[in-house]
Amino acid sequence: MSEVRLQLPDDMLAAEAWQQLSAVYDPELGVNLVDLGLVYRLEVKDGEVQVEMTLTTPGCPMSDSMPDAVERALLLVPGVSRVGVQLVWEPRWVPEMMSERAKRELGWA
Amino acid sequence: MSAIKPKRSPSPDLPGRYLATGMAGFVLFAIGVPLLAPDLVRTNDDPRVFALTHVAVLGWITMTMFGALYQLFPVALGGTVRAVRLGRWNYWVFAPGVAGFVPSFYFDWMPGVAIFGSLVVGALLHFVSQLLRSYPSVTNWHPMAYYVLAALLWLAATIGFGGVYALNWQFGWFDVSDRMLAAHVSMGLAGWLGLTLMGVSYKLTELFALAHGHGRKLTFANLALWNAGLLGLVLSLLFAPTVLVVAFAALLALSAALHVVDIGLLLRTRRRKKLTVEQWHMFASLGSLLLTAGLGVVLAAGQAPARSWVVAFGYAAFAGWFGFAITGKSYKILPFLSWLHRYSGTVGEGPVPLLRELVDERQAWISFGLLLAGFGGVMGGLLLTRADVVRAAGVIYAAGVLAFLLNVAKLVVPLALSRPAAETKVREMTA
Repeated sequence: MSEVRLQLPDDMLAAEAWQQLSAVYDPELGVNLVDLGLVYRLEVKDGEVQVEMTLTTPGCPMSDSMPDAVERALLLVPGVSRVGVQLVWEPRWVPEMMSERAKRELGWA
Repeated sequence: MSAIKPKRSPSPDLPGRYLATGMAGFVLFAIGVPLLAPDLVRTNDDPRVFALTHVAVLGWITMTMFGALYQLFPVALGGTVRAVRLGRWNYWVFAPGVAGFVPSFYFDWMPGVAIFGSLVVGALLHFVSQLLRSYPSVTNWHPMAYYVLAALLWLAATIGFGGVYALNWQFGWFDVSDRMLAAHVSMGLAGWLGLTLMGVSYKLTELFALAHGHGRKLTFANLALWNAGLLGLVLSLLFAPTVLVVAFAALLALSAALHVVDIGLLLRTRRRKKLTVEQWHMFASLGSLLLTAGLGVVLAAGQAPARSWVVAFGYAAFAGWFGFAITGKSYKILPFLSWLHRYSGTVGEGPVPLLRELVDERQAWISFGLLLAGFGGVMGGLLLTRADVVRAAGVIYAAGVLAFLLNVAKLVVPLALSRPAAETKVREMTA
């Protein structure tokens, strides 16, 4: 049986990828990475996804786990063939980057 | 944009073994207080009281701090712990050393104190050397890095002092006075344990409360003040008149108060508004720090009405300052270790539990209430020289410890039984 490879336009794939990342939660804060504002950039080209993300602080205990989690999550999206995750500290994350929903969940807004 | 290269974290069994053994020390300490109540209200100068003291200092608190530092050094400071395999072996020197050292004190068997004490000293020195050699790899020079660095130097000094006393027992070079012992205790308590806890508290409070924007001037100024006060206290205990001892003890008390203010200011910048059970433990710990510091000034001035006040000073530090902090932070560190061990390889593929779902919060509050009531009762009993009160309150405290242990057992047992896993792989990520 031959393998059927799903091919979606890059912008549709990007939307799927963002959706997928909304299901990956920071296990300490209980808020997903997208609402926390930790994903700075997500680009798709020919099924390859490049992500730039950060963490709430340098020295976050999750620094070993979250990039792997993002990679695993995105590889589950049909049509994604390869994922590159770059963890960056500039611009430095500030709480104002959170969505209104995240702020509410943390009792801030 | 700059990118980072995540550091190599030891697998959870390394910190896990120290943390699990620290729990055993915690249990022994909690059981020991009611059992030794008549001795505790009588004097601090008793082999069984020494045994209980070293259960707390080495078997519980230092053991826990070793585990916490093995875990936090890579993740919080971005460093790589050197010679991790030796760290595993170090446990097999330190734990048996403590296990022999404490009963040797209890039964007043000096050859045992010397033999097992040598193991303990060797293990402590190795840990200091291992962490100091790892410091060049630190990439995140958070205040915690400076506090822990100072703590390691004080630990080395404490060991040196302890070693001289041990040799002096054998060779009788000089008479060991209460002041010399007080200098040794001050270095260990305020230097090694105190600075480590303070440094770790700054980092973990920021992380868990999502605190941002807190200035660090007071944090660093207080680090200098604390070290100056402690150095002055130690030197004045050894060489100077009482008035200087009191002055430096008061300086340390002032520094303790500034630390409490600093943590309060840090918490004001938190974005996570709801206070957690861990943070209430921290408040109890900080309150106990002030109590310890106040008692320290009274002792330095020679104004304690009974020897049991010396014991009260130690109890306020062990069960209060360090105990509440360790218990509270365990509700964060242990779930994290367990989560890392069980779920970090699958997160992203589907739903995994949140850290807070791994512990029973209601049970944590019950434990906290029992610990707080027991602590207050034991302190009252010691200050009033009432063995019956110390015993009754000590039982309440032990019940709090039991509730705590039952809560975290489901996290600790799998870690304690786990075999060394492959080290977390290093992901090469460059800009």
